[in-house]
Amino acid sequence: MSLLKAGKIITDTWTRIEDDQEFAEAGAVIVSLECWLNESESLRKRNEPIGVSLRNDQSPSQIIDDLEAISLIQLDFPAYTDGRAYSAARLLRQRYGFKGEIRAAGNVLRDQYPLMLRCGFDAFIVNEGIDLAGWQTSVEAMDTPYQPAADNDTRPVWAKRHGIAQAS
Amino acid sequence: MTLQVATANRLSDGIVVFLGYDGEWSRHVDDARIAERDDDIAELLSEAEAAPLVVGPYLIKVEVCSPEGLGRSVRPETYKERIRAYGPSIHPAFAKKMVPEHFDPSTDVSAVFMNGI
Amino acid sequence: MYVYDKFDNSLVSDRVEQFREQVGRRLSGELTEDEFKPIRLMNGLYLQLHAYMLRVAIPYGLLSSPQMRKLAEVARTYDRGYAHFTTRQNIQFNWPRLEDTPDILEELSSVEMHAIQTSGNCIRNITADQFAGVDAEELDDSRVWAELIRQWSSLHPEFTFLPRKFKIAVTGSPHDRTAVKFHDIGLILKHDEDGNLGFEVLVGGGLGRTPMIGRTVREFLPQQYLLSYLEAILRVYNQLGRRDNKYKARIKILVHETGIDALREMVEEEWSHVKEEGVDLPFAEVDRVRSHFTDPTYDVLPDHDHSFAVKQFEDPMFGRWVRANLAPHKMPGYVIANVSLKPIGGAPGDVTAAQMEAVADLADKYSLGEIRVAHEQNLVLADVKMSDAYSLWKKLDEVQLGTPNLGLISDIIACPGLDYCALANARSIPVAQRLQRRFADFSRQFDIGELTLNISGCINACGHHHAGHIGILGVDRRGEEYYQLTLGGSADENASIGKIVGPAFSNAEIVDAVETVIDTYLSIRANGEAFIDTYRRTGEEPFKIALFGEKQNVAA
Repeated sequence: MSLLKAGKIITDTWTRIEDDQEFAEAGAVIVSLECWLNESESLRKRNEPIGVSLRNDQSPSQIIDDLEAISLIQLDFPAYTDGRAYSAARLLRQRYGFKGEIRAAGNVLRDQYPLMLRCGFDAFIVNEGIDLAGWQTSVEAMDTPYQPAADNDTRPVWAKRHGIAQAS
Repeated sequence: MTLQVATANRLSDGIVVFLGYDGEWSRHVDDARIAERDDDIAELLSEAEAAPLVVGPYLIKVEVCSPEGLGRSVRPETYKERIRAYGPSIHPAFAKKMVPEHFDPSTDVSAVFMNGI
Repeated sequence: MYVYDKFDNSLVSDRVEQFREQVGRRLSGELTEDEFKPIRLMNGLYLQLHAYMLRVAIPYGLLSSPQMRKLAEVARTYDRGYAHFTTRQNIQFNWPRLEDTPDILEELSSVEMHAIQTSGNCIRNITADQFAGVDAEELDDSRVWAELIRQWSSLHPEFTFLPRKFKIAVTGSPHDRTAVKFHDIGLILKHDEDGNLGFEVLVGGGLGRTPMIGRTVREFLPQQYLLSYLEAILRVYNQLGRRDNKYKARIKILVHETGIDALREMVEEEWSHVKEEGVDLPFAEVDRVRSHFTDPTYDVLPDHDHSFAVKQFEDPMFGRWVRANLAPHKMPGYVIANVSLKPIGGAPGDVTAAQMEAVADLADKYSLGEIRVAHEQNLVLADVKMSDAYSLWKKLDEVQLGTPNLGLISDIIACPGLDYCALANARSIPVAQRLQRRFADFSRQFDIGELTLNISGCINACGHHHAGHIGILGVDRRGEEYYQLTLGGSADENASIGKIVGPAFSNAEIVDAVETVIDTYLSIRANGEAFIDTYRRTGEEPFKIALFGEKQNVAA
């Protein structure tokens, strides 16, 4: 798999730690919500970047008090047809003000990429060898949205119609 | 013992097709290659599934009969598959095959609907 | 009606180009069918029994005459010369080629039409009242709100992969013609005690496998919060709606399993945040959209027209058409003309290209160039002068669109059924045709009076069978077509769900069974009582006895 961020394939510096795995001494890790809730103290003490992975039946409201300690939240698309993570991403960005990375994992496809960007995702675990130009084309095909979302730089159509600068 | 044929919809236009003896897909159920033995049936399905230009291939059960005036006919077992094979029962004009029993004798659709207006 | 600006146009044309590229990737083999299927569905393209089927959105059922002509052109050029109006105010083409669909969508975009979100688990075409703007009783024009919701819901990034499809209706009239209580969200325009405009918000209505009547989630929502409230409901549903079983995934099941009070709490809590987050529209945008739905300039006309009265007397068929198909208009001297797409023995909702063109021409000549589509699969010419009604009817009748049967037994709602649909278990259209022929006599139809007869070819209920006074559901019983009868459904403001009576009837028996129900009603009705009122008074008992006899009834 590859990591897509800001339109480019980049090296992933994060390590996903399964619940039965030991932590390495150093390095940024992504752990499950359960692991975070059980072991947040020891994770904080490592003094390394912390990422938390949420299944799509886990609400981001469970970690809103911890967001200052978390640098990355990974949200899962077990199938592209399961759209729960879109809501989770918007809540994290717009409601809870999360500024770290929101990473889409699972069945992440080109035709859903623009929707994910609009909902606040900024990193994507994708198949190797994807057609980057094609993915970019898909984004451009949807650059005039009717409604505001988590992409604050994209004004909805009604704001443009009435010369309103900000969506909110 | 059942007789089976492979059917699918053509990718380009969605039209119902049947895998024939020559390996080509035909619009007509009477052209379908009939498999009877288990291994022939399995081979028919795998050949259909490997075909690139059709969508959703699957097997259906058929019988072979010779209704009066129609010669040798391949007749799908279920009415759903007969509608697929012959065309909508309400549009004789679009029938792929005129099978009299398939159309309601009182359905004079041509008079009320397809009369050129 | 609403006219696209550059933003609307660019959104739709971008979508056409995107789909052209996606179809290209599919035809070249780059995309598998599994990958392509959700993409084509998002653009309204199904693969049905015999061919692809393209469902084109008619937002809230409103068409201009050029749009109708374009649909006719598409039917003639890319299809087999006809099309089908659906029970959701949309139109379907039954035989388009995949290769042609990008061209079809491009043609449609030239008249501000598209097929976006006519399928898939997203917010579908918004339903509004086909009499909006011309109904004297109306509180507000439902089209304004339907258009605002259309824009908000189009390509909504968060709500494109919901647990299941999502249908919203808006009605502004005390007499509901939208089946508002059978939608996932129903919006009923109302005023609060101080005269402010807003909505009663219903949630969790629907037909299908588990028919349910929508429950009130909010008694009064001030108009300015419409979109934030919708967003709150959708967000709760997106997160909590079931995804383990497609038949339990609609919001009605969430309402049922959670309870309306608990759901209301969640929605209100969510809304308390969303309404601060900039989702709602500025008044200027609401006003802009409203300005597209202002009244046309009506002529000042007298209340009555002499020739109109005389013609009804001279030509009894016209008289019947006036009685059944015309509805009162808010302006004196005008009428609302319903155009029946249910000729005796025709396929309900089907029209030929020539008929579409004729309707477009008649709309231009007699009804300000606009046509509405009703969910009963009929058309409406909403602004007809009483003095023009006879000429209009004569011309409609020439193209077999003058059937005087609106709201009568032969005005049957029917899904395409197994003649077209890959999901169906039984045919709908031939049953509708046989019923129409059985009850072809118009004197008999008028004697039977107001009656809705709805037919679905499977449990998904596109033919709204549960909501018909008489409903027919096609089922497959050991490889044979059988038909289950329901009685007592209703889709109006007094919505009710039809009850199944007894075991299913064979294809050969079903028409006789309906006739038995009708004869029973005629024998027991009180003076002037419509079928549904008789049924509500007597219950199913007399009908069951007539259908199955005393004995079977006791055993059942």
